[in-house]
Amino acid sequence: MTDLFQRAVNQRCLKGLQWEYVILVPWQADALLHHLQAAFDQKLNRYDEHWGTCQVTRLVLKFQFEIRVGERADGLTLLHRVNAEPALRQANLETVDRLLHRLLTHPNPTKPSA
Amino acid sequence: MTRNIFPTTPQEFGRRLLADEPVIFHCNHYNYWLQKTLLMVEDMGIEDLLVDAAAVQGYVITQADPDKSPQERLQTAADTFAQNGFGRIDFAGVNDQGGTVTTPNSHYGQCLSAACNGDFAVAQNFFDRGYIAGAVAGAFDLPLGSFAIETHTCFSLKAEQARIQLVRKTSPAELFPAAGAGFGTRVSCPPVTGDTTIDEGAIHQALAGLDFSGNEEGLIPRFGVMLTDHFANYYNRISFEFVQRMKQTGLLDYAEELLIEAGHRCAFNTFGGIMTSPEWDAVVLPQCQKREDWIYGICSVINVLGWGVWRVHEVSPEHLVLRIYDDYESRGYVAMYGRATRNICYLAMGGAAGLMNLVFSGNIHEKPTLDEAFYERIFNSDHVFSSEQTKCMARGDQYSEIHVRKS
Amino acid sequence: MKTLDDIFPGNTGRMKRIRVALRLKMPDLMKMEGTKPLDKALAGKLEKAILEIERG
Repeated sequence: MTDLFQRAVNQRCLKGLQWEYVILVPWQADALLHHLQAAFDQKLNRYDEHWGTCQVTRLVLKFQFEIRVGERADGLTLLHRVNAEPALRQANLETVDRLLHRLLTHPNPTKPSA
Repeated sequence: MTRNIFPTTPQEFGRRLLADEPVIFHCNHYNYWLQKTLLMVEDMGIEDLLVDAAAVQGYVITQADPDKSPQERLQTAADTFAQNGFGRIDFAGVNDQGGTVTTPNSHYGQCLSAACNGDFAVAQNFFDRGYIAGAVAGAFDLPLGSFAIETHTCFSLKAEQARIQLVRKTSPAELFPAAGAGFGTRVSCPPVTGDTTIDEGAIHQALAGLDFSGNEEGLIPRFGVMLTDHFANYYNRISFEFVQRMKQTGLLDYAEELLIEAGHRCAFNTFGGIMTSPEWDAVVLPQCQKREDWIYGICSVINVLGWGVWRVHEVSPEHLVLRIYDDYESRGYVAMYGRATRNICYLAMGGAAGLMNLVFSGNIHEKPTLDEAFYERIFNSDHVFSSEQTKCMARGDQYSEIHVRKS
Repeated sequence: MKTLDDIFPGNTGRMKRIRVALRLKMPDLMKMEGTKPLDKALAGKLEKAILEIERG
């Protein structure tokens, strides 16, 4: 998609429900989580899980999507909710795309832009 | 999100009980293939069987706390449905005479399509219909079988809304009774032995940190599949009753092969999904030094699914001997039909062969795409692994044993 | 002339053959020789059944 990140749908998982983002430049999970909350108006519910030595953060916008950060070293996973309409799914993907583009071009974890 | 549910109570051998009924994890692919297999046969009442076997599970939930009001009990049934990954139910439109229930989300209605090539011929939400009919009967302290499904719509047939209309029967139908926890041999289970670096305790501790409850849609997306924390006796009843009915057709042996294949599909998708998941990479992969460790590792994961305890007795790239302590199929069979005269661990037979096919034929460590083409390539190979059951707890053996070899 | 092996190739074909046998309640289908040419009517019946079982 760009030289900063790529995203691809997982064809197995409910035919398009799950998208995997691979980030191609250095990035910080904490900054990403911070900026994701800002991009979605602080409406994401946060759940932390420990998978062995791995810490995974799940950010959930109810009835729309869930983003998992920390389950892979190279990026994040976005799972649409089953009832989210196609237009809403696309809009949410584009919001994450824009956020990643901005964050990875101008990394500044302390000042999320609107 | 606070749900009004009964706690699942841990039992020996990793089993769990919900309102005295065993619950086990299975995914949308197994749910699809098992249901598809059973629906192959027309004119033998299979559709009713799928609904009736679910009814008793809804009934036990709303009968479990008689001090609650009907509305509270229906809320518990809806919350249990959501917690266990079946979707969401709105019971607002029912009373003791029936009414209309909606399911804004449905595992069976919405999630089986991932496993299906093409459109469905019939509505897939048999489980939802039965569970709802049973739950309403139980909530109003009516006999099980008090409601019939008058009409229904289902997402699987592209309905905008899933609605199930119940009507009170003048005389209740006689349905299957609850089978409860079932019967095991109470033989003690040995620890993990053999040449492996897998630490089952550490894996179980790590998996305990994962949330396996239904999300706000009442669904459980995990390991790249949709899980259900399902009623073991639902699987048992529909599988074994199918077998009973096939006895008169001259096709019993072949029907059993299809049940084993459903288990093989389960292995391919659920175990394959687990072994290619980030969860596996984080928790199990660091302990795997050789290919055989993958077999030990996946068995350790299986042992938290509620299926009983799978122990690797022998393993090499050529064969596997698996011993299963307190397998859910045997426990349920004995409770429903008494001692078996044939081997009945269909899921286990298919699952065990599937493990070997994934690890040694399919090179699952290379993270192949788990699609139909991959399945066909493995299953059509001249050296596909297949299973033979040599001991069966339902036949009186102390444990069930499966031998897996290349054909 | 088609044979059963043409219509149901490999192990996955065998499973499909079982599904068709169940669908048609036709146990003899599992006993028939795989390489023997099928008459046209039977081949057509089997192919129609395959379409039915391949629906979800």
